[in-house]
Amino acid sequence: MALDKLMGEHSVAFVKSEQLFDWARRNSLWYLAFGIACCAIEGLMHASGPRFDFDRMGVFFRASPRQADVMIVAGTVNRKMAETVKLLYDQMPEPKWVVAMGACASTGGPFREYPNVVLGVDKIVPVDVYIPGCPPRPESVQYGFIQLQEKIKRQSEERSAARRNRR
Amino acid sequence: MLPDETVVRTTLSGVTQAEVSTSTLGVVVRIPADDASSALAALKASSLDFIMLVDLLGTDTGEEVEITYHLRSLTRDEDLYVKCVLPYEGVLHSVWNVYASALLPERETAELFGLTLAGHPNPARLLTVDDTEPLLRRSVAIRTLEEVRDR
Repeated sequence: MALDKLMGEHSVAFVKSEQLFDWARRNSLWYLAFGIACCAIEGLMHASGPRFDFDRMGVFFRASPRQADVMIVAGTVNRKMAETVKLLYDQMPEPKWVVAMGACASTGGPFREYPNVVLGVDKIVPVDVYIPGCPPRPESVQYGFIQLQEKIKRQSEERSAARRNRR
Repeated sequence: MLPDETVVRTTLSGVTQAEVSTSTLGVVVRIPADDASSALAALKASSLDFIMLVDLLGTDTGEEVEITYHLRSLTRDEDLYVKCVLPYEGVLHSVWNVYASALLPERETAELFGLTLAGHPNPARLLTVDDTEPLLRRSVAIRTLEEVRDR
């Protein structure tokens, strides 16, 4: 969506800066290229490939947590990997979001009985969107990202509503 | 393919208490744990030409930990299984001087069966964090249904 196409050339738009920033943020959700298991093939590699092409909605991978907005936790998190997940999350700049992709990242999945497996990545980092499936199809991941965009949109609306109520 | 039992027996004549037998697994050699390194070196240098350690496995038999060295001869297309037993909390002597491919599986086996590694250049844990119980022992319970539900 280009603003000049929407409103015509030479037009002037009045918008709150935080709403503009949130609009920009939700249309450039760069995810961290960090895959743990088989979900990474569907959610990270297939997502950036030509068939599903998440680029067109601004979702693209970054190799460094310093440049990433979203972390897709794609795979089983065991107790040793949990330290790395936490470290990478801490290295990402604010604002940041986490997508728990697949059964393993959401609840432990088929490996939940093994004592070394963390029962869901939400025990380590706060999760915004859960995507069910084992592994989920890239369409599901795309839908998850649309939900995340909606959430970011709602967040800016909720912030301004909270300010209105304070006055 | 099965290696010739008599040749294996002759090769291991220096190792006392070496028992050679054929089971559904293949030709299995049982040796005392202390002789593992010398027995493997003899098998590698012999005419059987076992130049490759495919894998190093651990098994909890319920009474002790059984270590299996899976050897392969690429020139003769033959497999041999060398087994030794260690007590729980026993010491696993490294065979990396004979087979360098033992370096990683030895670390894994030691941490998952609660053994101590000796003679290893880097006897650190491989897959788990410190203070993890030996996960592949029978005595370590898996999570119950209730624990999983109340996550």
